[in-house]
Amino acid sequence: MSGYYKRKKEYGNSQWALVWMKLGENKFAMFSFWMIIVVILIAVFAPVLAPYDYAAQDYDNIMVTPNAQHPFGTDQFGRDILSRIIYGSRYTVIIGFGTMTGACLMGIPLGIFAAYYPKLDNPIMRFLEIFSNIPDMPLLMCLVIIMGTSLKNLLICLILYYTPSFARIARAKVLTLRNEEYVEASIALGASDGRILLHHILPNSLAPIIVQFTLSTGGSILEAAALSYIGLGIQPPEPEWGLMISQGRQFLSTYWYYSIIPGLCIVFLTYILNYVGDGLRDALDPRLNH
Amino acid sequence: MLRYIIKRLIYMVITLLATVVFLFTLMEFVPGDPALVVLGEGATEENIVAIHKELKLDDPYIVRLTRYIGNLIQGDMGNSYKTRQPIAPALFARLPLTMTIAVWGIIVGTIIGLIAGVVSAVKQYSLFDRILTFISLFGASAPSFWLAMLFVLIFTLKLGWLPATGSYTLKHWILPVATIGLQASATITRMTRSSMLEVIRQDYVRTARAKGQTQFKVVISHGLRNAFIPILTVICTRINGYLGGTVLVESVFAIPGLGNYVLDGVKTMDTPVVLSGVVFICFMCTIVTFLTDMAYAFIDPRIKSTYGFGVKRARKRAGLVAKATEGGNV
Repeated sequence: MSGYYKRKKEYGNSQWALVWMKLGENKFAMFSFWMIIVVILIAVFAPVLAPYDYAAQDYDNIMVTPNAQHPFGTDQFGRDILSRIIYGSRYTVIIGFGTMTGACLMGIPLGIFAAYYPKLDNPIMRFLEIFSNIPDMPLLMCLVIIMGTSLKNLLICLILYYTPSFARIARAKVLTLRNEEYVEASIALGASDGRILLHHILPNSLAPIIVQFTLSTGGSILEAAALSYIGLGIQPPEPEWGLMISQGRQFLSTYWYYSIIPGLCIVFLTYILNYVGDGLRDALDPRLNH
Repeated sequence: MLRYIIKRLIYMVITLLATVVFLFTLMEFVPGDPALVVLGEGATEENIVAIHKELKLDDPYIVRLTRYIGNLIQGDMGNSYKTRQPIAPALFARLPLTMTIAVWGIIVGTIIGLIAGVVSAVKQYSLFDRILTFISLFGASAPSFWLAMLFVLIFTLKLGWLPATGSYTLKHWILPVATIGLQASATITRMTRSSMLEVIRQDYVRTARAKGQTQFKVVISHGLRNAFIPILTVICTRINGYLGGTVLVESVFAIPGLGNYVLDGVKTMDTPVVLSGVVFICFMCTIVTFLTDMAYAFIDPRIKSTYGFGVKRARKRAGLVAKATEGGNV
């Protein structure tokens, strides 16, 4: 720790500390950031927090309107909607962050290799271009018909869908970094490609990737909910938010809470993710300081 | 200009061909015997063999691929496994429905998005800007099917003003178009705002002000025109997204469009329907992209003068910003 303070005294705050401080100036972005942490904690501690079991059916209390016992009411089988939403957050969090982690792990190396080795550039980028030429829903539908519907397959589909965007961003950033003096200096010092990529290029290309990560997490949550809504994602009786919206559709005229509340949860989570993403972009990109 | 057009056309054909090959290859991995999809449960061994022979399913991959592409060029998209009907007429019958929602949605979204984005950028940090930023981020964060259901709940079930399903009269189109329009306007507003904010600080804008140009002209001719390339890219990706992505809105409003057709194909494992449907959607998207490329050249003459090399660069730059600001597109 003492080394950290010594360095801080000598060089001032690190870049990431500055970004953190800059993000802190944006109060609502900070609030959103902590809300994301809260949602993740809710997902982790769902069994403790949920007042009922998500699958417990109670035929005495079918489709009750929100009250003290069931704050969000119950569905047509008497299952508590609040508990289902709390458990459903697990799917959303796993899908959102799992997709992005997977897409990063696949896309960033592809992008870095494409940019750092000019010979690989064309084959990699042209192949990814084919992927990104197909609009999102048709591509996802094609992947789902091959793999079938389950959480694992849904994750794979979304990872494949999001990989090109990460590759593109990593590539664009690395292309500008490749000619930086410190990279040339390490080449002159005889550093191996692996060392240059891992120690110099990767850390310096993280900023746009982090922004893309946050913004696309929201996007992937929406895509997953959409797939579940049209019946190609998570299957009943699991409590996924998009699926709950779809199930509540037939009761929209009489019992609208059933679809609207899970939708509000999706909107809330995506909204704060997008807001943090916007805030991070402003904090990380000095060019866009407006 | 002619060289530019030819270059884009060649590029378009190659991309399309690559996409068809890619999708065809992808469909090779669909599990299960297609003959079982054709015949349904309880198919006998002889029937399966007969179907294999009839549909030439046992030919090598390359033979089937070239045959498929050859047929495609002649406008034959194959037959559905389930209904045994040709696919192309079915797609063309559904195209107008999807096009109506997508195109009108985009037009509405573009008009709202451009106005809101420009005003928001010019009056940065005003109350108006804050409200618009909130609404546009909300629009980008809400799933389209949920938004559609919210509209149905409010305007059909509570107020009783508009019908919820079908596609018969103008009234039936209002809700689907409004859903797409609101969502499209959200992304377009966000892009317009950030693009305009970047441009409005440029020296040439200050020069225009200094020489006494009216505010309107400064904002529109000097600001918006220079900020328009990334905005156009967003509009293009939105149209492409909605050509395939209206499936969600279509399913809420029970509109038998392209997306629903492909979705039915996926649910019944009807591979030719999915393949040809998606190829058709990609074909439409490629045309949109081509038209966008043409529009780039009109907006920015520099692109034309470099015979297309600048387009790639501009689109990459614009695409990056677009990707970064795209919240969600479902």
